[in-house]
Amino acid sequence: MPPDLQKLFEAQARWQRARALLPWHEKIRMAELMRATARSLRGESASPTVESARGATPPTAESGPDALARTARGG
Amino acid sequence: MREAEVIAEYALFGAAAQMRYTEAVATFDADVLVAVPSPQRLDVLRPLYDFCAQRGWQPEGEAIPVGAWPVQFIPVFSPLTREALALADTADFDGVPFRVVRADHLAVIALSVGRAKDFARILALLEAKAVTPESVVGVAARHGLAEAWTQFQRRFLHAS
Repeated sequence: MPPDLQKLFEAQARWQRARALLPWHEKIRMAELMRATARSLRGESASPTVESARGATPPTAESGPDALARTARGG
Repeated sequence: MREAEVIAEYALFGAAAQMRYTEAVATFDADVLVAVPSPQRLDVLRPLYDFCAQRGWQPEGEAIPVGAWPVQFIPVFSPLTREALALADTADFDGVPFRVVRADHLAVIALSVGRAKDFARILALLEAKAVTPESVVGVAARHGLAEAWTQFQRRFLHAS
């Protein structure tokens, strides 16, 4: 493999590993953006998270496990 | 739900739980493992769906939309999932305590399901050092999955 390409792959691997170190809530919100993007690519109806993906509205506190936790607690 | 005795216990598992340890992955829903007070009922999740419906959370298919997430509530279905629920961690999600299945149980549940994407989950957990082969093998052996783990290692970890 050409050395430049090898360096490129190594840098990509380092970047991906670094993303695993992000806070959990940040990764959940990234997953919400990925899901919204996948849905829009599939032509499904837009959701509030699609707007978030476009940067119009940041993800809210109602997203992710915090909302689930309230549900599980009966809130 | 616990206070209303609709469920006895809960813990997040699946991809949303995995992301506690690995990089973010694409997923369409959140899976929540639940123990219910009356597991002998045929429709074990009926009280849970009724509880949600009374609060205006109507199911869409098998999932109940909670915030931005369709949530699938899955009753414990094996000694492995029962143990995973009992030994789940209480994690901090942006200041909110939240029960999450431990990484070793996530890996062994994935091993027990055995689809390609489940194997990818195990590899992601190993790469993130959330689990080690040593931490997985004990749980796998306890639940009759020692041979499946050996095969997984032969196929993905010791392949030459």
